[in-house]
Amino acid sequence: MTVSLKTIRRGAEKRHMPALATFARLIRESFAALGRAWSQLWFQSMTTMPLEIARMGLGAALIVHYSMAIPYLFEFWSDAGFMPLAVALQSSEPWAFSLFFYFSAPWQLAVFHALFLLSCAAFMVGWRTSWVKWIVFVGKISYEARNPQLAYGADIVVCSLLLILCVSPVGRAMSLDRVRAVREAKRSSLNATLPPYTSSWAGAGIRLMQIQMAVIFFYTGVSKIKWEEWRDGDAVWLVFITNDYYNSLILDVFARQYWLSNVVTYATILVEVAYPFLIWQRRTRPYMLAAAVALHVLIAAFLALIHFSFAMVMGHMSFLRQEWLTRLGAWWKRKIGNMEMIYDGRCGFCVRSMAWLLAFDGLKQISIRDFRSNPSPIVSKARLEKALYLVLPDGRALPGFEAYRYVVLRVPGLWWQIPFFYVPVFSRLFGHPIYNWVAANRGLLSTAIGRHARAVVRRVRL
Amino acid sequence: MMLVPVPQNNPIVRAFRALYQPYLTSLGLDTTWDFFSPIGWGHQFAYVIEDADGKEHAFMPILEVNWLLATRRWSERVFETVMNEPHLYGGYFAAAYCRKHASLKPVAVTLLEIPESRYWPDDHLSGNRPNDPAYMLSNLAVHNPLIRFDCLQK
Repeated sequence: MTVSLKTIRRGAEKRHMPALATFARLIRESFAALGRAWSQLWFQSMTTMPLEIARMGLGAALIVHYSMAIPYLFEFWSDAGFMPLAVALQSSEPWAFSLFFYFSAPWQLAVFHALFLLSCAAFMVGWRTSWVKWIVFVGKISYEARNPQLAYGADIVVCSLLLILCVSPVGRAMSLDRVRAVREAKRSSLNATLPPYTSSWAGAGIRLMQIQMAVIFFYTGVSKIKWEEWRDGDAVWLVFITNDYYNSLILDVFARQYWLSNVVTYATILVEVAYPFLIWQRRTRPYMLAAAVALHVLIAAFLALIHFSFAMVMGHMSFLRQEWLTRLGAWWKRKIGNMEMIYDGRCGFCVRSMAWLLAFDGLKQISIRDFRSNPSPIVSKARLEKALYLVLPDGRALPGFEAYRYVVLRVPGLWWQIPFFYVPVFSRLFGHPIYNWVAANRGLLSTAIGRHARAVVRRVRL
Repeated sequence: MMLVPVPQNNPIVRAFRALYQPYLTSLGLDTTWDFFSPIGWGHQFAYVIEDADGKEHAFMPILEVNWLLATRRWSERVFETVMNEPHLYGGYFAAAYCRKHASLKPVAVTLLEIPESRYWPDDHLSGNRPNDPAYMLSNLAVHNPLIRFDCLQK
């Protein structure tokens, strides 16, 4: 029996083909698994809530920080100060960038500082966030690069967190941008809702900030271990005896109970080294987060590094789980109870006011009833003709100004109005007459607004 | 994107540094390994005003800055800068101090760097507190001057 060479080859190919195909499939599956893991790590669809908390916190911190710089503006960042531009350029890295390098007159610095503070405020409240965040970031690095001698750890942390916020889709929740979008939807129908913004890019931003915080803590802990003072447990004592952080009271306690100083030193290292490893696990995350926040609260309280500690805590907020925030919101909603606002659906001004108010109610705590189409069993029509009413779960009905006053304290999105509604004596003294006047003239106001709206529409059409 | 301490002397890292340095520098992310690990081994800035009668008046400017405010951290950094490079930055501050203490009729101002001492709980309990701001201020004479400037008389 003779077997041709061709047949042998074909047989060998047949034997090898499944092996090759299996190998190719394995490679393909490995890559697919890697791709899935990569997407799972970076691109989970999430809401922007943790980033928004960081945004608001950092915005507030920058406002406070740079408002305090106003008296020193020219001393720190102008030619009239201790760091003239020529000296700054001499000592800075070749790639250092600062808008201040192009300023030639003090008024330009003053104008920029005012613009920067306004941008920080806009960033904090989330107004036009998509471009304001870049002004804040560029402003921040401009201050650092113009006078690098002033920068310390807090500034580096703030810069890195700002950069992450810049490339993330922030301003989509807990912001005026969100309020504007919801209000727009509610203008066509007060019952309209906008689903919460979620995106895989938000997930990537959150993950980036988480990794950033883990990296900072890891290197902070490791760099501490390098020093004998930290290894020996003396570091905290040595920090408090320096003039910068001198605290007689704490030194008195530590001098008598030195073991306390040792414990605090080692606990600091423990938290910083454990954090990057244990913060990722579901079970350990709450404890690590609490420990990290507690560490920074202590640093703020005893070392007065308030700006630094606050910036770090804002970074840690990236580890807040979505379900924690949802549970917190649900708890708050339960605690406050249902609130029903009864309004006049025929009054254009009232409908617009309701759309505006409801846009701030992110937790959807307020339900609404148009008494024209759906009469209230609790408040009579005659009373509703005079004012808007708020009905509470216990059956109480608050009219007009009192209704707003009640809601403002209980709807987190409206907390910014508390100062207007809760100034003792004055709020009620002026609030009641203003509300009553508006309520009495709501027909006129509706006509005026309607005319204005029609004019705008006509202008747009033209 | 990330803030990661970059080793300065590692040859491998240095080889790639040209690539990422613009990114680190321009975005204010350049930093070293040993950040956020303060250990007590510092220096304090002070100055002595010499008046027309030859009398000396010592000041420690950091004590005038509120401990809680951001300005405190800036002041620490500013004074550190002056101590590191007194010839470059000292003139500005000397002139400012001459103006500030014009009522003393200053003739000259001497900038000082006061090394802080390490001391331990036993020292503290026995009342020896060399870094106590009040103690430091009262013992300025023992410290070496950084630089001396004449105050310009009007």
